[in-house]
Amino acid sequence: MAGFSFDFSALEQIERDLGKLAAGVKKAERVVVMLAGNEYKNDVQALLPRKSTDLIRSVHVEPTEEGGHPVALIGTNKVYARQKEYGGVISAKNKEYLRFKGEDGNWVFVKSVYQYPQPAWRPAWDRNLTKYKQMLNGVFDRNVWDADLSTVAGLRPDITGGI
Amino acid sequence: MTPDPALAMQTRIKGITEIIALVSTRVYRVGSVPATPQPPYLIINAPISDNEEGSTNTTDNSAARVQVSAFASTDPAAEVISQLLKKKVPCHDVILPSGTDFIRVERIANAGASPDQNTDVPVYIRNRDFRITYAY
Repeated sequence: MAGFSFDFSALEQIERDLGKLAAGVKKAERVVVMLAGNEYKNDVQALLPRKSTDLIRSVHVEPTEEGGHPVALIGTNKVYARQKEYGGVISAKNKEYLRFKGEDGNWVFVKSVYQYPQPAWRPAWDRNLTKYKQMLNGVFDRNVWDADLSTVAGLRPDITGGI
Repeated sequence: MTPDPALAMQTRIKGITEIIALVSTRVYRVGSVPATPQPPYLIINAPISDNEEGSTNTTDNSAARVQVSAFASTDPAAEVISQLLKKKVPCHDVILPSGTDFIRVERIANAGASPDQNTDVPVYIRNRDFRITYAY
């Protein structure tokens, strides 16, 4: 009998088991990342102006991987989405003037105008970051979340659309 | 009271001499922008988000994101104003007017910027976000 030996068969077994464990973890990670990504997509869509149905429909989630970890990319291919989010100056291109109804109801003719932002991506993120963190940690409970939201709505109607 | 973090931000910016030296009195809030403003100028947009951050016995705490857009007729000029905003606006522990009352600003922090432009006009824009954490 040898006084000292390695058991390679057991090491191989451990390596196989660790591989299976890592695959299971990665699969679970992908599920929660996609879940949080889809939730963010839904939150953005809920905040986009109702008139922008094309833009709302265009928001989508793309699964990808970075550094061996699953990543969900949430975005849109609509070029005007940026203008909606940040605002900007639009100018007349095909005609001499832009024409629209002003706040007083009269027609306004201008060469360019500042279009105010109608943000959806940043407010969705700010309002729901805690929710996404909970989802990624696997501790999200929608009933508790909704109850918390209605408590805040009672405290601050001005920031939750109550007034 | 209904807190008004955008007004607090406007007051904060109007109190910074380096910025006022460039834009003079042209620090507008949404709704009060003239039809043809003279660049350079600033537009303070309505708060993008305003999240309740808990309460104490005497105050409520909140965190708002406010976008400040700097407009100039050249790209370097817009960048100079944007960098001034980044450097001078952040602060700790100040009292600022908010509607008919005041809010105690615990912190104003820079939250990133993005460039924009419309060469047809021409006008160059820097949109910069600030996070205002305040008690009221």
